Amino acid sequence: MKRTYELVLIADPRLSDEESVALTDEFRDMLQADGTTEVTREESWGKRKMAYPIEKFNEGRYHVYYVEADPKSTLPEVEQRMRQHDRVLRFLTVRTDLDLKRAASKGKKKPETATASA
Amino acid sequence: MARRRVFFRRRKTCKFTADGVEYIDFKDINLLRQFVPERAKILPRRISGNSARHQRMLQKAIKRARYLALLPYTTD
Repeated sequence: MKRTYELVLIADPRLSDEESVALTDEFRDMLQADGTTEVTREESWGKRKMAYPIEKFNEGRYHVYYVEADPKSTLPEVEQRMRQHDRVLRFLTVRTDLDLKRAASKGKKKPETATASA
Repeated sequence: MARRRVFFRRRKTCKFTADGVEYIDFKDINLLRQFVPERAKILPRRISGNSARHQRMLQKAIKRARYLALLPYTTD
């Protein structure tokens, strides 16, 4: 059973557009390196003002990976690399499959009753 | 001076229950912002009328958003 995750990465705001693309590509390749893990979708929010400074920066480059992975995936390894990477200000991995599955099974009932009453 | 004060208590409803929301995304900052007033504290259920389940989901989402500096922990 595949799991899904969302991985948000905040990179150094001093990176140029090209550099940040290179960085996020690097992590994507690292995630997909052994075939256990697949990046299904990505979002780049660009440079964004942060609600509070992190490592003395007021802005950060936000990037989101939507990941589908086996229980034994490359994620821990990639997280470790991110932790050590000095261009990564912060990251957060959230497992989403359980929540989304629950939402999907519950959500089904709602639209049906909505259309029935409409 | 014994004037009776009349309270109108509007029935509070959970916005999320009404909309059939089953998952609150921590990246949906505009939604989360509605539940963090000025002081950046999480708006209590007592005020917002959220259902317990949705309040828990909201709480988690807000805390995740805070960690990613999408929302402030405090304002000074």
